[in-house]
Amino acid sequence: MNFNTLEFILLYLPIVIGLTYTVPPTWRLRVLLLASLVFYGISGLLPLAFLIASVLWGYAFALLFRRYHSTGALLAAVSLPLLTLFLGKYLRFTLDTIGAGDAVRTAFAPVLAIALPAGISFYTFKIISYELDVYDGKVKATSSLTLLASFFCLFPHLIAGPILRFADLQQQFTRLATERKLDADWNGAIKFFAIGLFYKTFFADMLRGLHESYPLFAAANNYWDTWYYVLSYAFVIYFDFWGYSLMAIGLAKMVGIDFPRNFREPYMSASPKEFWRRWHITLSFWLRDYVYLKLGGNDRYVRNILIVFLVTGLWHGAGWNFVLWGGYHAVFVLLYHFSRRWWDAWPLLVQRCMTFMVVALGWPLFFLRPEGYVDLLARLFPTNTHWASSFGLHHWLIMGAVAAWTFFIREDKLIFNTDRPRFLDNPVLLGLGAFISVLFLNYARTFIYFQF
Amino acid sequence: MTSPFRHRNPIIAIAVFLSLVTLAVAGHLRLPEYRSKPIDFTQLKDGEYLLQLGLTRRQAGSVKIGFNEQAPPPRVGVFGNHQFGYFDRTAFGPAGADEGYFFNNWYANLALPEIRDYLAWLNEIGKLPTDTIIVQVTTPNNDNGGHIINYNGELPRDLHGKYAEDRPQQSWYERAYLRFNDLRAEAKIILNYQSVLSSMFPGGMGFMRSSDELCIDLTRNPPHHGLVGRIVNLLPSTLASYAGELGRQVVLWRDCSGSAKLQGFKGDGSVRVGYFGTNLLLNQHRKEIWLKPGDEDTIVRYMFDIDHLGRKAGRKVVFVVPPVYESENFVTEADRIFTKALAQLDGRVFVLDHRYQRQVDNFISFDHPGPVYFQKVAAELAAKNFLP
Repeated sequence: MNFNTLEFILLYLPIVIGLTYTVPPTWRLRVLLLASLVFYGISGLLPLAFLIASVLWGYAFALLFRRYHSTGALLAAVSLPLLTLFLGKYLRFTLDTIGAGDAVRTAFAPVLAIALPAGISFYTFKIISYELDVYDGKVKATSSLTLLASFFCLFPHLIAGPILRFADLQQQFTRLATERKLDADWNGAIKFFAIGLFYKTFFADMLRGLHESYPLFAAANNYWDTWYYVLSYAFVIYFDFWGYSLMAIGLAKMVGIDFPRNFREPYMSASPKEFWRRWHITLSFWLRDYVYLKLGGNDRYVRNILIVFLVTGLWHGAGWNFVLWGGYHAVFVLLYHFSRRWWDAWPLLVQRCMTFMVVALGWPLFFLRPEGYVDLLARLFPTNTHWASSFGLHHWLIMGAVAAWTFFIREDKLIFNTDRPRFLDNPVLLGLGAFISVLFLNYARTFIYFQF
Repeated sequence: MTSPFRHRNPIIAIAVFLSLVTLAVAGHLRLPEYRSKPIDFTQLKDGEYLLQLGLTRRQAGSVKIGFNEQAPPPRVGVFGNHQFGYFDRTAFGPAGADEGYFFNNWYANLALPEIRDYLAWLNEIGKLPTDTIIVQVTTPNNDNGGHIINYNGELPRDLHGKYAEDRPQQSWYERAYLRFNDLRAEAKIILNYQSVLSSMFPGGMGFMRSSDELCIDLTRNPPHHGLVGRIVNLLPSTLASYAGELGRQVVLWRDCSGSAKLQGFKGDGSVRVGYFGTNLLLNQHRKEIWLKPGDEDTIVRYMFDIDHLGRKAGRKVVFVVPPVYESENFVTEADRIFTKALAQLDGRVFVLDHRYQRQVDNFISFDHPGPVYFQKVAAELAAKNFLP
């Protein structure tokens, strides 16, 4: 089930929220857990089984650490979630890479037939971080399966994050199960959900339709069209994911849970390094804490950066294009590191432009094979101006409007304001915006990050 | 202390949202329908078209339902969605010239369950094509398995689930699921910007006739000279159509000049070439998969149901799976599932599986085969004695 569907907005959500507010406090987590399992189970019983198995495994092993606090126990603890992730996501890629023969593929056929379980990368990372935190003593293993399972499975963040840490949200979930009156920030909830839905419907999905009309496999293209194709996707993927994250924040607020902000105007970053402190923040911090620092952090900076970004690439997808994308970002982060003085000497505007171009030129690796990506880069150069353009003035104006919003609207002031109500706090505007977004849901697309 | 203001905003926002939804529902109930006042397609000669503007998909499709309910059935009928929009009578050669030979019932995003319902209705009123029923199955690689087994809410409310009436042995679960699907499809139709706009401006252009001859006239004498004409010409077509006869002429002129082409039905129900674009893009594989393992059983069930319905009525039934123009993603997950369905059918229903006939001359746009392809389909059907 997607957030941007009528059945979610008009049926599932009112029922779940209604039940959560009606039942006694001790039943709230059970209701949310059951509702979340239903939410996820609609995509298939086998993916649900994967999720439940991973959660139970994480719960059991975290408790076992009290008795068996060893590296072997830790490895065993992360084995099932990682194995599930490998089988669900990386098996086919591995078999293709090693050139596995028919006999091997036939042996794995039942597993290969399973479609990638939605959100597997996200919940696997959450479970692993819980196990590692318990192992390191950062958080006590909880004996309440309901508490832990409802944390891992809560539907707002189950499929596409944010990647949360149990240590950070344990208190909120405990309060949810104990406080008599559920004092949720409904003002914020409606606001974030409505704005997220608007971002997703109009900035992401509509622009995506225009982006996809580019004749990718034509013999040659007008180079302006290729630039449009590349730049439009930068906005599509941002608003697709940020729209989802905002909706997730809003949904969590409806039940009194505060999620962290996952994006902080990433295209305003002044360097490739800063970009990763503003884009998918919870993933960046996860990789910093559980990969980069565990490998020694700054002590072996170049090696660890390469590893972290290759993991980042692979996390996003099972394919050499994703590995290349991770490597691409590693190279630019390292280039920035070693040329910092030169880079930082430029005016801020130039730094931001350079960073945006670096990031935007990397995104096509999300959906192109390496050879296709190289071909696309070649088409960015003004060698083919005689081909008729597929994109007219109105295409550029639409993208320009989205770009203007991206670069000129300060979300800290307009969306995350705490000092006083502003334009986007107007409830009539929010109700109207949500309604208009709903009218275009027939053209909605699944969130891009649901595939990771 | 919790400020009462903190809770006021969300209540207002929710109240505004629910009020607008209520208005949308109320407006939808006022939309004009074209089924009870059908347009006679047989009156459209070669070079004449029935254009539609500002209508919901259901309104646009209902004009064909109304025609089918009143006119004598053709000998050969096509049932499918926009993928078969260009399947016209010329595919059948001289035989197709006969007015009552062929009618194309293509209809928005119709998929197998709704085709089944539609055929059940036509059977009930004795309006099934008299000889051959051609059923188009959406190419699995077109929308990655979409619009094959899903209800899209395209048919009028009374036809939804029509086939289910023939199956009293359905379990309560199946009946409940069908009802839920009905309501979901209905909600999607109502809460759609086209429906809301149409309900806000119910007296819009709707349907009107155009022709190649009229286009020649309008091209020679464009209607938007003069100040008023120029102002009207600045408006979007849906609004321009409210500006009386001048507005309608402007809309027609835009259609003729190609600057704002409208959907134009021909007399045989097909659509004139060019409406769905002429961009021969290669199909770009979408990430969402709309078929899952196990759906092959559903595909088989629907195809058996349709075949059984047709055969029981003494008709020949053939399923056609057209190609889409693509050079990669030959075998996707959706495609594999469909192949399993065909294997299950094991020749018990007649299927023309053209999924891999990707020759470029078969296409007008990447997911719309053109006249060359449909001539091949007709020739193949004739060779196998499926055509009268």
